[in-house]
Amino acid sequence: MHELSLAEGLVGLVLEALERAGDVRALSVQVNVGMLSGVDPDALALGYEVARRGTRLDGVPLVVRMVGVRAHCPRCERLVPVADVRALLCPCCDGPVGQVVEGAELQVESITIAEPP
Amino acid sequence: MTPRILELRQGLLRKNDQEAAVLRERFRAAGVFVVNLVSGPGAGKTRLLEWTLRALTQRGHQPAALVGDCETDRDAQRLAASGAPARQVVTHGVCHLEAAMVARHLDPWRLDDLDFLFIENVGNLVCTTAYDLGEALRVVCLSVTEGEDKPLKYPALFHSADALLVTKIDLADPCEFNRDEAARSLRSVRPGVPLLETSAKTGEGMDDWLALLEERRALK
Repeated sequence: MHELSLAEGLVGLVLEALERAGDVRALSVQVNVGMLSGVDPDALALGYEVARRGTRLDGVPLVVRMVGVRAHCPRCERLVPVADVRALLCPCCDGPVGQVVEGAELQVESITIAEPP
Repeated sequence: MTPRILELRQGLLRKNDQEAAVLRERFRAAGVFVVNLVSGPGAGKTRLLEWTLRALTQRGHQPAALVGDCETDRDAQRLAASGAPARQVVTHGVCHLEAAMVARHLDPWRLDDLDFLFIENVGNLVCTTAYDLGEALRVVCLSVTEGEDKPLKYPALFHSADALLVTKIDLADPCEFNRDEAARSLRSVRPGVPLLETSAKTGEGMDDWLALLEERRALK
């Protein structure tokens, strides 16, 4: 996967948010990576270290949270966790799940910032 | 100094998602049914489209095609031989198509004149997954030469499919391809969508493929 390109997008998005926030200092960036997103967290972290150089995010750590897959089971009629991303089966009835509601995302969750006193 | 959490909850592919939404609306307004054709390299997308463009034209439709490759316009030339408009997107190493690339390459065409647009993606089972191109139908192809368990190895892409094609089915016997096992793999990662076996060489299954396209277009 092209994690460097994704990291550049991530840095751009965060820098825009910091611009809007004004006179603040970024302390860390929190990112959610879904288990079904195809993104490798280590490669993303490496790409981020490259992409942040020379920007306001230089030296600011990236915190990656891996998000498990949750989907709707049409037979059990509720949301269920999915352990195996290859099979995408309901843990209760063992049948295939329907809509994936969580675990396919690639998202900037938040930025921890410090404001001047 | 008290740290504060600035919540963003923004998708990293938000820019592409926004551009894809604009495209989707443009396609809808123009009445053109758009298909994003994805697979690994060499699964037979171009051959499938050569047949499809000819067949749709013969049936009185106005199809067109955009095809993405790292280098050359060889595929666009092949597709243009069908008589339908075909343009090449040369990505120079970018491993997938994005909405902005599609938008740029549509410029010379009047979308109102078309009823089908096929976007043949760069051959790639990984990176193409996350990029919405504004399509109405995402078709993922698995060729018999790739093995029955490919979908299990690349679940994210196969899970995103609106329809599944098993291509080069005329080679099933020499490849000792287990059709039932392949169907089980495909169904385990993506149940509930049409699954067709096709050969663009012999024509097997191609009428069902055409019927699916026409039926889906009529539903939109």
